[in-house]
Amino acid sequence: MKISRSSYFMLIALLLLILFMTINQYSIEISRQLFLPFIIIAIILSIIGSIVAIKDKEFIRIIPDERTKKIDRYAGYYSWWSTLLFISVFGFIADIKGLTIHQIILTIFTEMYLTFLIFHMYFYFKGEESS
Amino acid sequence: MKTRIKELRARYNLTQEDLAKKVGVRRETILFIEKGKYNPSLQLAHDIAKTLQTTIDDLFIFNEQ
Repeated sequence: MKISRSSYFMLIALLLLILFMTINQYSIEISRQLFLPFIIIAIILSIIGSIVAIKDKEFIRIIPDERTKKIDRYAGYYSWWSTLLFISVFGFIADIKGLTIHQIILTIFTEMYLTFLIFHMYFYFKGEESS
Repeated sequence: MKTRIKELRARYNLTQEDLAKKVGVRRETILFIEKGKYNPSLQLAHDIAKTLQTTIDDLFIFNEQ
């Protein structure tokens, strides 16, 4: 996984698409209302991401180093554990509400993607405080 | 932990970008090390110290607590 600050815009745009697909599984009415705003925001984010990528000279290839690899590992680790916790809670809710398999899979996938992105951004911008 | 990277960079007239290229990391990594927000690996600390013609001990100032 190679992620830089320019990738965040693209990944958030992709998150909107996944979120839209998930919402569509729950309510077609709400997803219809959200379609246009989501598409507009996704296009704007993709354009901003492309501009930042060109500015950072990372449009074709993202250069990884030890810090970015460490952040990837941290984000993956925390995302995995939060997803495990989420599944154990969501499992009960899905059972009670009688959700379909598509709803369950898309909700878990969205949560996993979202938490990875949140943790990645958190570690990317916060850094690690020296003791 | 504090570092003298910024001071030594200025002495050798190097930008963060120049130093990053010399040691093979991203510019942000140098920035975060300077801010004390990232603890580099021993290898990277050694490479930076060597590029700035100093030692690791001289480059990084540890808080003795």
